[in-house]
Amino acid sequence: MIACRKLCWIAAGSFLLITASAHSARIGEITKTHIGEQALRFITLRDPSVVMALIGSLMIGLNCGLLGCYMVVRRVSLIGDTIGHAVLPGVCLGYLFAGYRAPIPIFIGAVLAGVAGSYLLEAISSTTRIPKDAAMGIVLSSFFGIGITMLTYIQRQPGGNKSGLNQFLFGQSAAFSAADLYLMGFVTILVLATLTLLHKELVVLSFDSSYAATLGIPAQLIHYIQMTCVAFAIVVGIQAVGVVLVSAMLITPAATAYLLRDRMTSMLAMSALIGCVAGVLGTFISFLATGLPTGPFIVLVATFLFLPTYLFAPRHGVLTRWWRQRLSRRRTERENTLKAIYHILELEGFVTDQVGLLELAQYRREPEDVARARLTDLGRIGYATLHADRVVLSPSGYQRACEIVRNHRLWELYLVNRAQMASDHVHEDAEKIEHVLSHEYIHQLEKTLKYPRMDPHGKPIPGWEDMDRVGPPEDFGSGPQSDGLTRIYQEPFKGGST
Amino acid sequence: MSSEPAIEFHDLSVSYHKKPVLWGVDLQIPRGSLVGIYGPNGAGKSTLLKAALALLPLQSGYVKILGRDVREGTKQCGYIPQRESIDWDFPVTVRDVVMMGRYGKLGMFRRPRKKDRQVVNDSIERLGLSPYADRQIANLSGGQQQRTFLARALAQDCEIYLMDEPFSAVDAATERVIVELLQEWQAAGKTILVVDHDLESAQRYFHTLLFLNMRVVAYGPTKEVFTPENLHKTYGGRLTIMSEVAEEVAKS
Repeated sequence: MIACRKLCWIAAGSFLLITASAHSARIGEITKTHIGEQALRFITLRDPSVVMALIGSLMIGLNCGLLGCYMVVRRVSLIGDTIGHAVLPGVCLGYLFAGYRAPIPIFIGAVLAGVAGSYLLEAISSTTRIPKDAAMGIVLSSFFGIGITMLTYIQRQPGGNKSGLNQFLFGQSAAFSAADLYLMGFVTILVLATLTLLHKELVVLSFDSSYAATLGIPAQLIHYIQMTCVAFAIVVGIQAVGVVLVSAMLITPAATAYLLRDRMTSMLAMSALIGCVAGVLGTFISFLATGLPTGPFIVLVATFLFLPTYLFAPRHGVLTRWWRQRLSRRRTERENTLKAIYHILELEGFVTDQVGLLELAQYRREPEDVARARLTDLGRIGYATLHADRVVLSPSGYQRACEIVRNHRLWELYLVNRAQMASDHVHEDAEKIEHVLSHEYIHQLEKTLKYPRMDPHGKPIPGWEDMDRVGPPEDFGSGPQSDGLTRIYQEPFKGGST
Repeated sequence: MSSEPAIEFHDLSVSYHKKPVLWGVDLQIPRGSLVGIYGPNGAGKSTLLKAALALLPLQSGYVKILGRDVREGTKQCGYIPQRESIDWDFPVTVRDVVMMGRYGKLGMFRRPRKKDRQVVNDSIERLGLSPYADRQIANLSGGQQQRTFLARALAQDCEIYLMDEPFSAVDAATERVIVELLQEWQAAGKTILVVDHDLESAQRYFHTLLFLNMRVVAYGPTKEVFTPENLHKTYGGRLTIMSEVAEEVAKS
């Protein structure tokens, strides 16, 4: 529901943008030089209003980026959205009180409305069974509705200086006055001081609030201080971003940093940086075409920074994870081919070091061209060479094949001996585990099992010393397995220890 | 001073949303006790620990820690919460979590000093977590995660330890480490309350047991408490009338 309304507003905003650009397009050629000129004006900081817009949006990006981190890790991000929308009636009241766009009355009005909204939110969710998200929806929409009604009323009033009030909807950093900047400076200092002084308390409270309470940390008080900072940051933030989108500045930079960083301090630093970049770039883009609202551009820049992170973040990125899974799947397939080649060599008693392509295809019950593709793949990474439809494992390929077979058989033995599993139940499990056992675990397993030579099915386990050359392991042929050779060969997937 | 019990529950009753969870608990736990707390789900085991940490409003009665009001006493208590209550995706490393154990002693606004870092290092080392000290806590095994919270309690260095299901989802090695630590703490005269559900370990690990089912069923030396009759009273014969009345109270 919230998202829906937001979409409507964005749609309305883009409609405004389109009409505005259509209008400027009518001026023709001049638009082009206009953009270049505007860019130059911005970059050279020739214009004091540019400097003010820049400083203001930097401060807003910093405040929102920092405070948003705590909201995201505490999973209360949407409180920012609620407060953001709830301040609008306060902004209008401040305007009505002063009679013009006066920073201080508007600030006070907005803070009061924000605080009223958050109290109402608490009241609704604590006195009824309405869940918190539904309560947020109620507060957000009702306050915003009141705000829009008041805004419409003010605009219908004759006379008076109404300029700039509309800018609270979508933000306009070009409209910052010196008084606005002082207010932002005050809020920034307050936020930085609070976060520095209360850093460890805020982290432990966000992480584990019960534990923090047992340490004697005044949880309630700090929560109120934090929420006051959030309300202040929102109230000064709406100047640049607007009430509709201000919550994005709290959430998007912090969420981006959350995907990239594993410690609170570095997450805070990264989120603040993203917030600043979004603020400055968004202001720059909106400045290129005079009179466009800044909010949507700032938020879009933040979103453009979020997107690649969502896809490519080193650990949590969606595509990164997909790619990692793909690599590991391909490695598993390769290792299974190596294992099959080892099994065939073993079945034939290691009389030769070659395996025929057809033999492999038959053993794995695959079409010939699939087997050929697998062997070509092995060849590409130097595990084997395929010549005249016969494959020979390279030393590294043979070693890896031995390792996989050893891992498989060691794990089966472990399950049978230590976990008391039946020997015909362990194969499936070992098929997965064989690919992930590290050397460290292998050493532990070998030690626990007292350096075994035979698996539960009586097949020899290749040892470290057997891996140097193609050939039978030390105990080859001494176990009871020699009998079963043909049986396993005919039914490779039904035998326990394939 | 030393004659005061470590924890005293006096006629303690606690309710969640008006539904009684603990009724009239009277208990005096002497210093240096190692107590295993057992009871079925919903018996109020975790609630009892939280009451001793002043994390819950009490309906009646009081709790005293080392003879003082519970609110002043919590700084003397090291709490190891249930693992389900932890947000494992939170951006903190093992070292960050263990350092939290020092925050109570540091006081507001103060940053950790060299001595705190030393204590944190020692605690991490003691629990065999040194190789993982800078890992984010989601990238640990269940046993390592539990040991992280033990290290935090160790770094806190307090008189009383309250542990909620420390043995759940841990490997044998971690269980051994926990038991060693419990014995070490007891030898040093600390008081430890452990909520557990595995009755098999009850007799092995604890000399004192508390059987709980909304009220104290039995409390005392393991040999006297661990009887078929008490087990039946705690787990078997559901206190139907008591829980039905509790439901009624909640609805009223």
